[in-house]
Order: sequence, then structure tokens, then C-alpha cells
Amino acid sequence: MNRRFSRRHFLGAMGASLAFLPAMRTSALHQSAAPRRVLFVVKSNGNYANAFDNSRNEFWPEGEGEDLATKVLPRVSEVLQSHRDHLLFLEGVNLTPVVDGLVAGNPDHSSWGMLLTGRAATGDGSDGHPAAGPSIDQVIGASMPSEVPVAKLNLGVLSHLRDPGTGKSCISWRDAKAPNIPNTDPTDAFDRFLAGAFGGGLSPEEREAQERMRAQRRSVLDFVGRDLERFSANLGHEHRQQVEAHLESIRQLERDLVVDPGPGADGAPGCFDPGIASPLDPDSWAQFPQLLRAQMELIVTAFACDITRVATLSLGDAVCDKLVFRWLGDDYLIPPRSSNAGGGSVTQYHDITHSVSAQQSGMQDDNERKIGVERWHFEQYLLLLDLLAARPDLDGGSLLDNTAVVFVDSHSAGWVHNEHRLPWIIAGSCGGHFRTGRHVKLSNEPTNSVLAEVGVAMGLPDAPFGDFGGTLPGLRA
Amino acid sequence: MPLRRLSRAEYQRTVRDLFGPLSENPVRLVRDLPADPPGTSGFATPVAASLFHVEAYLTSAESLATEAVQNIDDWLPCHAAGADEVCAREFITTFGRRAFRRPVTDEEIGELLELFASTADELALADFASRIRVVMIAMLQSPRFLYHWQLGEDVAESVDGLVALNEWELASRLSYFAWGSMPDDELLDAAESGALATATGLEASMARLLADPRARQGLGEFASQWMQLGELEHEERDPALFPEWTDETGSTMDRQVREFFTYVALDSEGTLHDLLTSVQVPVNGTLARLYDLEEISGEEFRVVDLDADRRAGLFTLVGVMTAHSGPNQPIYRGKLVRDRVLCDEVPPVPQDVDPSLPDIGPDATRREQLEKHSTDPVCASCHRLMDPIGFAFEHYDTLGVWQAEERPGLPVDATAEIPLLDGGETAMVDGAVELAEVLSSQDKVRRCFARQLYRIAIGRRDEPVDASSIDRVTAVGGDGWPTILDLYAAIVASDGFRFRVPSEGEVTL
Repeated sequence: MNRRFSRRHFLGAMGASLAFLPAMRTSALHQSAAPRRVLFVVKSNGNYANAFDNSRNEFWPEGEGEDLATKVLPRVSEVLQSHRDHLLFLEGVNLTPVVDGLVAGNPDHSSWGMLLTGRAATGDGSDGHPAAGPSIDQVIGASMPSEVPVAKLNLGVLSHLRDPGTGKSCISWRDAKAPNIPNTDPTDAFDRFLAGAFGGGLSPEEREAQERMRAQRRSVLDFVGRDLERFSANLGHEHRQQVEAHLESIRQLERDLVVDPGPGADGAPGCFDPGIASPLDPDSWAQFPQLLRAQMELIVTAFACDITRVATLSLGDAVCDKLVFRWLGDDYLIPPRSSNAGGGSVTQYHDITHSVSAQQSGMQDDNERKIGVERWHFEQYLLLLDLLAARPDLDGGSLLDNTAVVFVDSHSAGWVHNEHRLPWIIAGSCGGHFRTGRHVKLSNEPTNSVLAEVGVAMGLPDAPFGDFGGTLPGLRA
Repeated sequence: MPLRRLSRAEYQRTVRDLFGPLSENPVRLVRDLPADPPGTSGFATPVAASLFHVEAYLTSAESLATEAVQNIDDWLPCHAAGADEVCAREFITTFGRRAFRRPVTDEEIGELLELFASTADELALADFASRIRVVMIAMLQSPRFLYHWQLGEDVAESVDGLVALNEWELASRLSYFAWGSMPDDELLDAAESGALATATGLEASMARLLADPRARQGLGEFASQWMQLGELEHEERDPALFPEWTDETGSTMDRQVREFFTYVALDSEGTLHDLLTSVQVPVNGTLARLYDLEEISGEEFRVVDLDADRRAGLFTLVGVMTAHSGPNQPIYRGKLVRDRVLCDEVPPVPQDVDPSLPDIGPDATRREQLEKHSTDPVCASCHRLMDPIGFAFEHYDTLGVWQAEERPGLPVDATAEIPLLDGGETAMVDGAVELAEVLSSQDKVRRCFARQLYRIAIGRRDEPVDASSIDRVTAVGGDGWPTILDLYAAIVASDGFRFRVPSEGEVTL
């Protein structure tokens, strides 16, 4: 991604620095209670958990009943045990369109367009299975009050390198075939969304110049919008749809021209600049951990400053065959038997996942390696929950109390590409909507129901979402 | 005809050509766009314009326009003479004809002049250059610039269910096919004069375009996308295992494939047979060692003769081998050839199948590892399309370097039985050189190559309605080998290039 047009640079080049917000603008709308937030974190490759039995299980809590306090968390999930009370394990959730055979072509590595949309992708997959409708974050974002500056924030880590805008790498969709391409450059994302809150004062001349630029942009975008409308007048349906998606992006850009702190940031004690070590190369898989951390800090900050209340974060893409876990040590770099073994390149996430049942020679302890990388992912989840818990929110509680983080995976037993019994977790009660600290058993429940229930928590009507399922009142407090 | 935005590569080249006379190096001002996925035709097909795209267009337009108006006197003579609305109109019509790739309509001129007026009234801009800058920024974000659709305000006329592409659409199709970029003034003039109204006229223009240096980029782009080299640029290799791999290796490999294709097609006026079998290959210092050529150095590419026992044509270029390498590389390489060279569809992996391979110990050869694909009937039905072809490439390791042994003491076995050739026939080959010779004798391959070129010309996958056009292209040269340039000519003369079917719901006369 090109960072040449950054308007500001990151603060805190020397690691974490806390720069409290300068004199705040008073807002007409003062929040008395803290708003609810939701974040969808999406990964691929499944976990160490079979789809139909517990012959391999390091994910699902063990023991009787629902109450997590009395259950044992196995080796992957135990990483999150300090947040045990905040977790909702949802066992029995399926990616229904795939599991019911409703998708043509092979969607195993292009199902990301269905995870948050709950519809069967159309086409035969030759165009990467684009989504067939809007994703839940799009719908929740559209329902947010207009004072919240950014309807939703779509970030990613290295998601832009594999067929962007298709089911292979895109989880958020404005509508069918209209992808919300995630921002995978933390430096750039900070500039766009947070610099307005932390940039410090502008001189009167600078402010004037900024106003003039905004006025010109408004004028141009207004013209371009009308131009697009004229252009689409005589087009066929599908073409017009495409132009409408373009038009909607223009409208979005017009709204995004000004990003000032939202009403909740007024005196918000948790709203501070995290400072992120730079430079980061958004194209480098070797910097996956640093990029991930930076994006998580950004989202947490954006929530705390009420710049947005809805976010998605995609980890890599639907295959992740470039993700090499160098930082976990030599066990995760397999020396080849010859220059050909392991493809001659080092072991990557997709290989590790597929090694579980295959036990391909030359790779020892394959199961342990799979468990190891899933634990690593959960360590990142732990960091995220800790970051949320550490930020005070407006109502005196923590930001985590008012948030729901939905940890989403595209597969359960990734080595056989299974989409039954997906290892999904909700973390955080979302302002008391969910009764957490439980391991809930469901039966062949479409992923839609989870999404719909999260929508209810965020203020949407109690109604189904997408083409399957309903809501899940049993999860409520 | 699909409605397509300019792809990322097309946008960059179009900007370069549009601003060539106005700016020194305009492409450096272009904001990075997301990559385009392949789409149903297999060639770069942009998705619906996201927020990312429109912001990139906006900021690129601002930068380009800012730089251009700094030298406004150089390219807008009326500015010095007396800048006013008449001069603004002249700017709109001359710049617009090139930017929109057709004459600007009266209605469009009116709209843009209104915008020009508002820059003084509402935006309080005083000097002419600043005001023209705003108009230019708007034009660069217009769908008339960003999309392949040159209809203007006119509605298409449908005769017997077909729409004849108008002269501007044809000019655009020609230049994006040959150059991957916008028409030049000469081509726009040819369109205007009616020279593109006949198949002969189209052929003549195409010949001129292919003789132009810009054709190297268009044809190179086709080759790179056809061989699916997309990820080579970003390929990372562990330096401990591949000390010779640098940040440039992948992109240099990609460049060699492009250079080879243009060397065969343009410099040598070669044929598909040459493309598949020739050992006259451009090489440079970075790649020399991979081909066992120690004496070559420097970044410049020069044509050398490779070892004819070890190399043949396009497939054994290190870039193609590397882009399709991995633990089970016979499958990837086999799929490439089966899909892109034979045009046989490989069905996807069924949902309920366990795709893992059994563990048979560290001493097994790769063939033995993949044996389940041939012994298990569930696997074999599809894998026989791919694996045998892939085995023929066993002499090329994950960087395309030729190897005699798979492991010390274990010689490579590159024999293969290739099924489903012409007439359902099977051929026995030993190694990629023999494979190339067999493939180049296949009618299937000849037809498939025509289809691949045709797809990139019309911007979509070919359908039954295109069959007769493809027949015509395939028949060129009769029993002999047409040059690749002949194929380009035949495509632009075909009905499929000059006509289209109205899309559903489209308003026509």
C-alpha cells in the first residue's frame, strides 16, 4: 500500500507512548451511558478440533454442563482462561450454505464471502465466490447514529495480497459483489481514522487550507456522483448494480471527508493514542504479529474514542499459505529433505493445517505444530481482550464490558476442510446483552443465527439475517 | 460486453499515456490500487469500486492535475492568449476526447462548464489554472474515463439481437488489446474517419498498433496473466534455504516471461509452435545461474540459446515453474497446462472427500507420495487430468532449475502418460521437451490459445455465441502455423470483436 499521501505521521515512534487528547470539542450530544461495540475477528484454517467428535480436541471446554467455571479448557482455549467469565463458546454452528451443498465450485478456500453474510455465494467459483448480499457489519454500521463519524471500520492483516474483493480474502461486503476492501496498512488507517482525534491543533492558515480542500472535494464528488447517475441510465441490470456500488462508495467518501471525534469521546478517559512502533511493511508476512497488534490497537482506540462502534479484522486470507511462523522458533521452519521437500519453502500455516492427518514424512510432530500455531493465535486474542479490558469506558466499567468480540473461523477441522461445528467464540457481554462464561451447545445452527443475535445486541430488530437461521435468545442475559 | 473498470495495470498505463504530453513521470503520482482478481475469463477483472478504489482515484487525480497545470501554457495555448470560458471549452473538448476516448458530447461539455463556473462562484477560485484543475480532477474520476464503455449519450442500436460496436468502442478495444492502454490520437482519428468500420480497416489499424513499442507491454501482460504469474512479485523465500533469492528475483522472472513472449510474437513474428518449443530465450544476469549460464551478467536481457535437451519454450521458463511450485507441484503445473493450454476444465475437489495423502515414509519419491491420486478412483477421475502432465516437469525444481536427481542417488523420473488429448488419445512423454512437442501438435492447444487471446480481447469468458468467431481464428493458417500476429488480426476481424449482445435490461433502439 502506498503511504506517500499520509497527512500525518504516527506519534510514538519509540514504542508505546500515551498522549492524552488535547482540548476536546464539546459535543451537542453527550452520552450518559457507554455505547455498545462489536468487532468480528476472522481467521482461516480452523482449529485443532474435529467436526463431529472429540477424537482431536484442544478447543472445546471439557466437562459437564454449561458453566465455564466448572469446566476444563484444553490446550488451545486455556490461553484465554483469565477471561473465562467473558467467553461464550458456541458449539454446533455450521456454515450452512456450504454444508448443505448450496454452493457450486469448491468454496473451501473462498468461503470468506459467506462467513459474515450468511448467504450462498453465487457463480461457479471462477471469480472467487463473491458474496451474495451485505455482511452483518455493513448492516449494523448502517444503523449507527449519524453523529458517530465512521459507520464501520474494516481492517485486515495482509488480506490484500490474495485476489482482493473476492471470497478468498474479503469478509465485509456492502452488497452482493460489492466488497468493502479492508485497510491493511496501520499507518494509513491511523491517518484516515484517528489523526483527526490526535493530530493536535492546526494553525488558522492550515485550518483554512483544509477547509478549502474539503470544499473542493465536496464539489468534485458531488459532480462525479451525478455523472455516475447519468452514466447508468441506459445500462442493463447487472451493469447498473455495479455502477451503484461505485456510486455508494463515492457517497461514503463524501461522508468520510471529515472525521472528528464522536460524541462518546467527550471526556472519554479511555481515548488515548496507543503509539505504534514504526515502520511497518503491510506487504510483509514476516511482520504479521506487528501488523496484527497495530490493527488491534487501532480498533480498540477507535472504539474508546467513539470514532466507530463496528469493526472487522481479517487475519490474512482464506488460505494463508504465505504465513510462516518464524517467531515461534526453528520447529516451525522445516529443513527440507531436499530442495524439493515442503515445496522448498518453509512450512506455512496451510501446510501445517493439512499435515495433521497426513503426517507427511519430513515433518515431525505435526499435531503439536498445529496446536502450537492455534495457541499463538489465541495469544493474540488474549492480547486483544486485555487491551479492551485495560481501557476505561464512559460508564466506569471497561471497554470490554460494552463490547462483543466475535472470533470467527472458516473451518473446524481445517485439514479436511470441514465447515461443521465451527470453533466460534463470543467474548464480552456487549453491555450486558449476553450471559457469558458459558459453553453453549447448539444443534446444526446456521452461522446466521449468531450474526443475527449479535445484530440484536447492537440494536437491530429481533429478526433473522441472511438466508438461514433465526436469532439465539438463549444466549441473552 | 461486460462493463469493466480499467484494471489496475490498465489504469496506470492509461494515465501514463494521457499525461505523457503534460507531465514528466505521471505514474509515480498514482496512488496504489488493490490488485484485481482473475474473474471468470481468467484475466484481471476488477471488482465493484470500493471505498479504497474511489479514494485512490480521488487522490491520484488531485496529484496528477496539480502537476499538470503547473505547465499549463505548454499544452493549453489559449491560456496565454486569454483564459476564459472559451478556453475552458477548448480544454474540455481536447483533453476530454483523449480522456473519455471519444468526443465529448454537448451535454457533457455543458455540465463541465457549469462546474467550471462554480469554481469561481462557490469555491472562490480566481486564477484560471486552479479552476481548470478542478475540472480536470472531476474528469479523471468520471465513469467515462474509468470504465470500458464508449457509448456516450447515445443509446445502442440493436439489429437482429446484435449491437454493432461503434467506432470509439472499437478503437478502445483495439488499443487495450494490443497495448493495455488508451488509443493514441492517430487511432482516434482513424475511428472518426470511419476507417474502423470494416474488418480490413480493423486489421490495418491493429497492424500499426502491434508495430508500436507499446505493444510489448500489452502482449507481455497477456503472457504473464495467461501463465498465472500474479504472485511472483510478492514471493518470499527463506534466505537460509535460498540465499540467491532477492526481492527482485520474482519480478525479474516475471519480466523474462514477458520478454520471451514478445520476442517470439513481435520480434520474430513467431508462431504458437515457437512459443511452446523455442530455446532462443532472453536471459539476464539475475537469472543466468538458474539456467546454468555463468557468463552472463548485468540487468539487460539478451537472447541466448538454451540447452535444447533441457528446455523448451514457455513452460520451462523459471518464472512459470516457480509460480507453480510447492510440495505437490506436479498438481499445480499439471493444472496450469490442463486449464490454460488445453482448456479442459478441472472439476473442484468434492465436499466430502478427505484430500489428505497417506504418510509413506521419508524415503518415498514424489510420485509415490501422490500415488493415491492414481490408485483411488475418487481421486483419479480428476487428478489424471493434472498429475501426469506435472510429472513431465519433474526435472525442474522449485526455482525451475534443472535437476537430474530428485535426491542424491535418486534419478528423476519424468516419464508420463498424458490422457485426453485430441480424439481422447493418450501420449507417452519423457520430460518437458517431449511434452512441449506433443502439445504443439494438438488441435486442442491451437484452439485453446485462440480462446485465451480472444478472452482478453473481448474482456470476458467466451460463450457458445462466440464459437464461430473462434472457429474462424483457429482456422487461420490452414494446416500450417499462423503467426501469433496473424491471430491478433483474425480476432479483431471476427464478429465477436465487432458485435455484442445487449445485456439484460439494457435500453436499446
